[in-house]
Amino acid sequence: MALGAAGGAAVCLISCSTTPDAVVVPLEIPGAHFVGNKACLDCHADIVRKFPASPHARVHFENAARVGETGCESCHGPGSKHIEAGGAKLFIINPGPDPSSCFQCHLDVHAEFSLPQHHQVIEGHLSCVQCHDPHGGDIFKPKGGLAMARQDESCAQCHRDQTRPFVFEHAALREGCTTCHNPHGSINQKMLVASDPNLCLRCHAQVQGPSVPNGSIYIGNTDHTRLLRIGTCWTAGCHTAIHGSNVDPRLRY
Amino acid sequence: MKVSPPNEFKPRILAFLLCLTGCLSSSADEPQPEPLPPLPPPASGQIDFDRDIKPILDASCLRCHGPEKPKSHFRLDNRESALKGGNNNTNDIIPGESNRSKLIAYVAGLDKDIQMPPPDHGPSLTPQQIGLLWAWIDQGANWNTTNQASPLRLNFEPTFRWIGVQGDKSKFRELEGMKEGFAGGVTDALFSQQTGPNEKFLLEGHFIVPDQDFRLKLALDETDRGFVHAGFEEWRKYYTDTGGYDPAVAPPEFNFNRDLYVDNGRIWVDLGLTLPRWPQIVLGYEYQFKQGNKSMLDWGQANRENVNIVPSIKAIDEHTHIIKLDVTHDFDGWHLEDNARVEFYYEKNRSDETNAFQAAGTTETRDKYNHVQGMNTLTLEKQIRDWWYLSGGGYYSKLEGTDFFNQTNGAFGLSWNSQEITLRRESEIFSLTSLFTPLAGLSFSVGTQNEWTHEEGFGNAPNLEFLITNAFENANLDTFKSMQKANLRFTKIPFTVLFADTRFEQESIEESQSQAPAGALTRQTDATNYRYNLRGGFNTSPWRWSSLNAEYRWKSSDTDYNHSRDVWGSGLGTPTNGYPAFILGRTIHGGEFETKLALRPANWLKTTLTYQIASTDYSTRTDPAVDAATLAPVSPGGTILAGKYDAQTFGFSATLTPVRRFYFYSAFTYSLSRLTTASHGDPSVVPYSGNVYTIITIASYALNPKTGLQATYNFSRGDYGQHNTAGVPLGIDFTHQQLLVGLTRRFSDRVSASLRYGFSQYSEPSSNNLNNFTSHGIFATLSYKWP
Repeated sequence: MALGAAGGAAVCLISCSTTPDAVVVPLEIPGAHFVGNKACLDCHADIVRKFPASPHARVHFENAARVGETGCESCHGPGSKHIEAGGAKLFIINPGPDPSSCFQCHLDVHAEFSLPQHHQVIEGHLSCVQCHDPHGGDIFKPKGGLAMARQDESCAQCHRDQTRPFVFEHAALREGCTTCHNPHGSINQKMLVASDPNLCLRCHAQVQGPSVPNGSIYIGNTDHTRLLRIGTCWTAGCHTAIHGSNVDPRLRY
Repeated sequence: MKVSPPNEFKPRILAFLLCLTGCLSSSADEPQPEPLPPLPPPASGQIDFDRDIKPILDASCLRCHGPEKPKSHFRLDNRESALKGGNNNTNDIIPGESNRSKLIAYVAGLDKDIQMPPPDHGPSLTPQQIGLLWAWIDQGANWNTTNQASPLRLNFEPTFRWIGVQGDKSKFRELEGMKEGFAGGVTDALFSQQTGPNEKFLLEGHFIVPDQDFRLKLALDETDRGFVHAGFEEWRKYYTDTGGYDPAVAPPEFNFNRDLYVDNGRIWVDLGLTLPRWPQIVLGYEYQFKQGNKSMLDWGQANRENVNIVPSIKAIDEHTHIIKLDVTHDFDGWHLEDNARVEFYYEKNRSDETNAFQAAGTTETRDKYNHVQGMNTLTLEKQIRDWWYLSGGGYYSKLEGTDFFNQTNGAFGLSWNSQEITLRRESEIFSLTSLFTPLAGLSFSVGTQNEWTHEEGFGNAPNLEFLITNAFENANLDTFKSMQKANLRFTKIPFTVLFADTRFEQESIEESQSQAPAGALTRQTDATNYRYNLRGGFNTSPWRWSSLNAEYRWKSSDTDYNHSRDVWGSGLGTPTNGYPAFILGRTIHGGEFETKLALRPANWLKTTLTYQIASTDYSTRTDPAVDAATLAPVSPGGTILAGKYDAQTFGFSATLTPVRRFYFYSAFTYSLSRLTTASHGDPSVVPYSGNVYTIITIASYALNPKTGLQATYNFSRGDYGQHNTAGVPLGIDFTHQQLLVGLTRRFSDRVSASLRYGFSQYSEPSSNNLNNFTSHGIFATLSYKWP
């Protein structure tokens, strides 16, 4: 009873979007114990059969000393009561809407979501499975697995404005959105991996000729020394069409 | 061991009938069935369902014959379904006639083809249990239970909060995702009812104002018939209204004192058909929207020294209508899934970039775009052999879009309009993957995915570079990408899994671009990109109290560009080499190692230590270049190490449960990174380097059965501040901490309440603390649950 009260409060910390959130709760289902992956096969054959090809199978092995530390139940919680109740959803954890299960292992990702600029996963407006397929089978999603996915397809589901076709596209998009953005979270606005011109110069720096004095910098055929002092390549108001432009090959509008 | 019953009359009749049924359907040439084992006697006395039968069904039957995905569509969780039977029989249970009820034959081992529970799904029933079932059926198979789960669930949690903020309120809203002052609503409202053995109704909601945080979900489900799922969601994302900060400018920071936010939402309805043995079909409609104003990073000029730190705002107005059709079907061992979508997307965005020093004021950019996109994904999967799982799929999409672009008071003081620009994109993808498990402990998969994409865009657009207000442009992009992937997993080493993954991608690109008048831009580029991604590692757990995993990942991307035509401005002046067709080659090579050690020295203590180190080098090869104006050589061309990125992350977490009433979790991470580029000594470009610290802590303690205490604490700190001798300092130094403490009190089995105090503090020394805030909040929630 006491634990029920405390546990109920912990769950409330996840669901109450009115409060600052911290999401980590133990994956416990009162009265349930671990049963192993094979028991899941009976009803979830389509997932269990191809699980060996999933990225999560990298940490799973059937003879683990602690049953349930790897495999299905490491994310879904101990499954005995779920099975006894004929698959009742009340007795199993669905990590879909709740990132707690994911954060048990992905400490670094949890930390990124606690940075000032982040996707609204902890707040409950988005979820891990909107971008990742934990079982590795959805062609629309970017993680590996049996059916391989199109890069950036999951970003495009929400960010159509940035991923639509352009007459003059920025070739960096072919490397993927994560070339410039950290989708979990960042200290920088727009979840950029860097907030200064280094972000662009990683690819756009060039050999400077002997006539270019140290302290000056050309990008292409244009002296950018003065321009870079205005701000970054994009905050300076120049290459503002950074995802692509329909009028300017140099992505300035 | 079977126990021979003293009275074998009835079982022998049953065995005889079963044998006779079998004999009638067998040819004379078929071998005679083996003699059937004897049955135990029926239990004597009146059967009580709750006491005698329900425990048997719960322990041995519901695992497969419960309400969710029942095997053979046979359910044993209610009388109506149980008497209805499953796929193969309607006589599993015949009240008053145990001798004709197949259930008895199955559980007693009298049917040579079907034994329940199956051997690998639990122990056989004891003779006593069989006798109870036998007597229960003979007595009418009544289902009088007082232990049935309530068909009705109700949950209602009204909430109220007040938050006071000192300092930058817009920064508070952006970081905390809520507005200061009073707010309230319902954090969770749920009404769920099992209206019949096969019908469920669910209404679930959530709303908080003034954060526009709404969720309403309706679900009507009928097993083996269909469902209606519908809902509405909306949430608000807040943005700060400040731009950059530069101490050398007066004022060093601007803000508009505007409440910036974008409301994101969707409305959907799905109609599903789930008839047994038929394909499952879902027809749905979804409307998504984004509306509001958000801050952008294309800042305006602050003074005549050309420093851009004045915030800019983009008005967002996006609407998407999606019609979807999903079909899922299992037949002959195949699993088929088809997802079709037609998407209608409309956007009408407007950006305002304020130039603080210009009399003309604001640059206004309007973009009106719409597209129609159709797409379909088909996936087929089958377990061909015990050791071979095959999966294949195809994807096709076609997009047709139109864009109108208009900018007034833009750079150089120009006003211009683009005419209608047509955009098209067509993609075809085919993938085929096999998973092999030839030996116990060994699995590997190989797969290929090939993608063809054609994009084109054309229309009338101004060419600002040459002050031409009408110009025709045309661009085509053809891409072929082939990806091969393989992974290997080996688990024969005791307590250990070894894995290796590899992915290889080859991309061929043909790109042509032109802008009239003739020669202003003519470009023809062929490019080839090779990407390799290798990963290998292990995970071992030799003792119950520890596990260790480590992996190394190497990735590279090499691109070569051949610009067979590269003319930029020849129609209007001397051609000079430069962007867009300027880069001849680019490589990105990186390695990453990570390891994790989990220790559980006692049941009440679990600790995890993690470490990651990553390094990436970026190299670029370009054409030679001369200055666009003076024609003086400025670059001999060639390859340069354009950028280098190094990072390390350390993590530690601990979970403590020393007593049942106490739970404590804390995680600490520390990362340091450094990004440098070939800036040729430009003092406005300094290394982007610093440290980030985060702490996440949660604790709960049950004072007594009715009262619990909770506390959470989040801390993050970054020190990427820059001290440029020229240019705008663009890095950030900040400290952000959040504390929430409170108690929950249960007043009865159904009613509880929580009261919490929240504190949040943000400081940003890199903006001279102009964006700091401190907040205090009170949060109260009442909860009513039934039953």
